[in-house]
Amino acid sequence: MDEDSNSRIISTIQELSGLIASFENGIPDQDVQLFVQTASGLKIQLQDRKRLLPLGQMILSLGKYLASNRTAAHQGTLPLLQEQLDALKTLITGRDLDPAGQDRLVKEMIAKFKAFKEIVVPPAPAPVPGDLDELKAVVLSIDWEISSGTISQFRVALDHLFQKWRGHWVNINLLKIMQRMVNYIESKKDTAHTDSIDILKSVYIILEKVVHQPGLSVPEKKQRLDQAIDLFNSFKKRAVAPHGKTVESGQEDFSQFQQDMPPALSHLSHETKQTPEDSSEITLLDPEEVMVQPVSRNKAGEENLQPALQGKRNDSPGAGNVMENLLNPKETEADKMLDSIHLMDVNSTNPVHNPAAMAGADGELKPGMSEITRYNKQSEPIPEIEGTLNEFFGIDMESDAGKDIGLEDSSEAEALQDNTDTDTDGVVPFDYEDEVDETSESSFQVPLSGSDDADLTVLKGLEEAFCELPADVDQPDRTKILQDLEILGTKWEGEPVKSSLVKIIGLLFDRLSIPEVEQTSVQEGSFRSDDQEAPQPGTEPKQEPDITDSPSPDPDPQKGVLSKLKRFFRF
Amino acid sequence: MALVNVKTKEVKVKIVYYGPGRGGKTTNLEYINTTYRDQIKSEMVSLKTQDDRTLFFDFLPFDIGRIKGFKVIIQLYTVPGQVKYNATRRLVLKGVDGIVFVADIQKFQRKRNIESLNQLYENLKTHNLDLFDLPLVMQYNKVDLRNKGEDSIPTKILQQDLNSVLRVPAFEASALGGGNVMKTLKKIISMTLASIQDQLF
Amino acid sequence: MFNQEQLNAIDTIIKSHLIDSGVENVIYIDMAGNSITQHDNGNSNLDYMAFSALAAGNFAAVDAMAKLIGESEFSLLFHKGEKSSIHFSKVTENTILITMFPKSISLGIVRLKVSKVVTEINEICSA
Repeated sequence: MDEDSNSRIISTIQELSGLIASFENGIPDQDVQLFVQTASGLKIQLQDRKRLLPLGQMILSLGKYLASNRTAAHQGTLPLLQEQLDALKTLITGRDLDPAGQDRLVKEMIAKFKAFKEIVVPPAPAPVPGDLDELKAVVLSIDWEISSGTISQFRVALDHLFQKWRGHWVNINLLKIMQRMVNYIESKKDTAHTDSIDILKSVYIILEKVVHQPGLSVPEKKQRLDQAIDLFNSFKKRAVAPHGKTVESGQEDFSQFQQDMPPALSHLSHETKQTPEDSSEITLLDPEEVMVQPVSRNKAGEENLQPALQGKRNDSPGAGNVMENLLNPKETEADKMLDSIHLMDVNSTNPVHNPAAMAGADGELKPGMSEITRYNKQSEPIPEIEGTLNEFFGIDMESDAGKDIGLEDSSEAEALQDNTDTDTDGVVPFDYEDEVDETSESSFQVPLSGSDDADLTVLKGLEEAFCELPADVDQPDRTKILQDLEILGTKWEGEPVKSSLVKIIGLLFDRLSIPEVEQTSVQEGSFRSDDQEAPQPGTEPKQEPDITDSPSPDPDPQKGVLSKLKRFFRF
Repeated sequence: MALVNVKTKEVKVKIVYYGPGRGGKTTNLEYINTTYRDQIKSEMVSLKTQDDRTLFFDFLPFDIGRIKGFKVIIQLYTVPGQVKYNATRRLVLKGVDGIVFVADIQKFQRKRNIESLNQLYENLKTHNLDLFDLPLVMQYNKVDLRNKGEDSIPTKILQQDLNSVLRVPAFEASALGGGNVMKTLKKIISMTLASIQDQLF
Repeated sequence: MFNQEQLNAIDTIIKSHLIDSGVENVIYIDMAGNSITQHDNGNSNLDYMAFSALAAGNFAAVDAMAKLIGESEFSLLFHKGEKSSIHFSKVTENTILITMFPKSISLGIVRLKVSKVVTEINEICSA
């Protein structure tokens, strides 16, 4: 076996020597390519022979140099090649050389090769710290921003250094590690492992240390390189799929699916059974899209099945503004749909209209986040609001007024409590004038207190009394009713709306409960407002258009009070 | 713009204390924060200048409890009152639901009160909000100074200057001692919640 | 603003893209300073309400500054801390995503991931 391989090697050497001899007269392309090819074959033949392999590598390397430079190649190329081949032949035949001698010969050839290399390819100047400026800048910029721009800048910086540091293999290898990291980051983008930039920076720091310490020995440099390689390898492990298997892009691990399992329907005999090559087209789903699967997407052509106002701001009309909004120009289909919902509600008998943007057609609030941007300033707060606020802030808030500000002068305390300045000369009066009067306990009372219940009882009683009134109200009943009205009027003195209503009712009742014949002489009954005087008997009645002018004379004076009341409101 | 999360049953409303510089807006919040420390669990955030003037805003959020099942969170803000901070005031007004206008009753502040209210109207317009549509309460602050003989604007004039068009609830107050601070606050919260209750409760 | 389905999807996106990658806190707020949703890695005791209010104010102030100098907006709003840093990103016209991350994660990576989150949230909003 050895003899055979030796003879084959010798044959190859002779072939190569023949080609070298022919190159003295010129180096045709075909021949030099043949040389390289043959030298590659020689290297393969020497794979198992460790002592001789370097020679094979050097011969191939010289052959490639010759092929790329041809007649421009250094004049020492061919003699060196021949020398290498001769040395190889000597070593193969093994004549006249002991192992030590053989080693010496190989070392001699290696030294000659290196010397030749230094002549042909001058070594690059030693790396200096200034060389790193460009690379450092891109490392810092990629730390802040990963984009096609920063990545291409990174590559440019690496290329510059690859050229500049030719021959400095530790530095070159460190650059190669960085290159691989950048490739990884570029391919993975946002799914890149969060440590990737960290690794890149760490390798850069190692490179920086090597460059800044030119006196480092080769083993020390190699140690640094090993450190970087370890970082890279451990990162690679971390960057694999979660279940621990390394998944190369484009490859899937089918080993877990080796067990025999007949495909579905394979038990059926069917004439047109498909072969794997015939399998139907399949559309794959991007894993990144899986996360948004819960939200249905509207693809082109699909009907929009989302509820109205989805994602829109809450600008739906209030209960009182439905018609106004319906008349306004519509912007989108959602607005039109909203209108139809409101129209349905307006026409329905359901008095409760929930205009909330969050409400669907069934009126229930839909889960999610919504904005409320419409305010109804006229609303009276529901009792729960007042109750909750009282509970939070403490119900006994009236002690605030006057005491907490530590005022000595009671007149100032009164100013805080009782601004009853009704001299409105130049100032437009407004509804909540009395809010400034802080002694009024009714301002912040919880609405459904005991007094409200009592008021309601009285009102109910009055209501019943009115219903049961006979045609002619006898005096005790009349008096009782007027007294009740007066009680309410006094109680609601601080609430002008209620107070006015009660007064109106009282006046009307008073007027209507007196027999017809007396009405012409008495304008107002016993219930009168403070600033009105009782008219003298026999005087002409004051004409108050809104009360005395009825559209037609009463055809039946004997009818009850309520019917008389109704007459005044007949249109 | 009140924010409602129906699933978590939470509603947040933003109330801004607005007014001329040194009028007592921050003092209002400080009083509220101190008096209700136990109930108000969050810390008050104050962004101030070195001479103790509001630079950006004061912020005090608190949870007043549940109303009809909804957890109601009130977020009180103040704006910086100094004239130069109008851009900031505009920013703070974004999303406002209710406003307390804190006027300074000192005589020399009369013009500033009016200018401030006019500017409030304009600032709200930039957010497509109408001052007349928003819940608003007037507070005439520093009434304690009247007692000390300081030149002050009578309430009637304040009403005339500031409330003749708006016609909103108004309170005299002394924020330093707390007079009517809580009533003002309670009123504005009540009005603000009432204004959105039909959409909510 | 968002229905529950959208909120759930947003939560999933934030969790999977950011929290699971080592980000400490993510707060999604509106421009008025209200927190829409927040997530953390389990080790946070951040006062979200105050942070949201301040973040909105900060973002708004910087945005106003951008306009004063003739920029429509700044593409990067980032505050670097010793142990943690925060990054702001406008998501929609009315919302902002704030990401707090430790120094072991580079800003470049965070920006890539946030960009992806922003794209996906916008897809949800327009769906």
